[in-house]
Amino acid sequence: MTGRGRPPGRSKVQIIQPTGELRKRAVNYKKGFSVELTSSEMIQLEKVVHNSKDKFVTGVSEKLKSLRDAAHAVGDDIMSMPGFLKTAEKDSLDIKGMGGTFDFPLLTQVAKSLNDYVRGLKNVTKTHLDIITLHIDALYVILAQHITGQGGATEAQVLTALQQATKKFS
Amino acid sequence: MAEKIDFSKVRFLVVDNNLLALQMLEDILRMLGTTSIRRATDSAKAKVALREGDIDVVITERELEPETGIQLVDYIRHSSESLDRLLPVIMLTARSESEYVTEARDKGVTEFLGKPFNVDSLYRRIASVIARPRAFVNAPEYFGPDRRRRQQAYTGPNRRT
Repeated sequence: MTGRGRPPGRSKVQIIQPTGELRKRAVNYKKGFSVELTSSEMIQLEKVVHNSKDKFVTGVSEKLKSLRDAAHAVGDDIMSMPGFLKTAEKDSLDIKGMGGTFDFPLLTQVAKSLNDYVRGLKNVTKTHLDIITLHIDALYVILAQHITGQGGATEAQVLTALQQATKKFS
Repeated sequence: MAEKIDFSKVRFLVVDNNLLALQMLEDILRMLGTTSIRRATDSAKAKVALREGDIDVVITERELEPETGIQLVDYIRHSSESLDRLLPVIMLTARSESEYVTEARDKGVTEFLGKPFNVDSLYRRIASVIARPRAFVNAPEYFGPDRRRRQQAYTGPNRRT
């Protein structure tokens, strides 16, 4: 990119072409998974995710139980609030990031609502804590009742109510 | 005949502080046939692994401690300690809102995928960085993969004679 067209003072822009070394090493016509996945290859990979589903449900249940306990404990101990909020933010982000992968998109949506809420909180009151607890309870119900997919009308109403509460008491 | 990827020839570093996500990624890569997978649960451990070398592809979460995944990408692209500044980096993150996509792109991430993900989307990105490597741009304010993804025909007036 040199030449007459560049305005004065503009520095050089260099384009570096890829070496293709990794491609040369790994791409072939005989062995491995197709660059464009076939349906049988896709099924193999989906099985891996499916096999992790029980671990996910167990892991999220444990997170929610400890979050619920912490939420109750923090009500009596305002000094532990920052630590609790940090844990709630981390755990809700983890749940948001994995729910949909395991066919729990509603779990992802409620966890996102909780994550957005706790990230924006500064001076936390009893009402804020109640809204956090409501989110935790909703997540627990989704998991315990194994509500996969988007759920029904009731679940949609619960999600809307939680989102409205977060807006009203932010 | 269709092109295939022999994953036994590809060495991965996966970085995530969520152990379940880390384990699932490793399981998926093992199913693909990968034998060299290094795991890190924070950015400090990831940097140690990067300095040891022999890594072809990095898959990282954005939300890491003590530094973020974005700072890890910055380390790969700009640090004098970096062994391969052109290393492909796939950012797989629960911070999937548009501002994070833009931030990742502008910091030199090769591919971005929001969590929750499906395996098809993840595989497409992995296959892309291996089978269709992109050119890099070295400019005063940007060093990273060429961000121009679409080839669009010029439709303006022809001013060249």
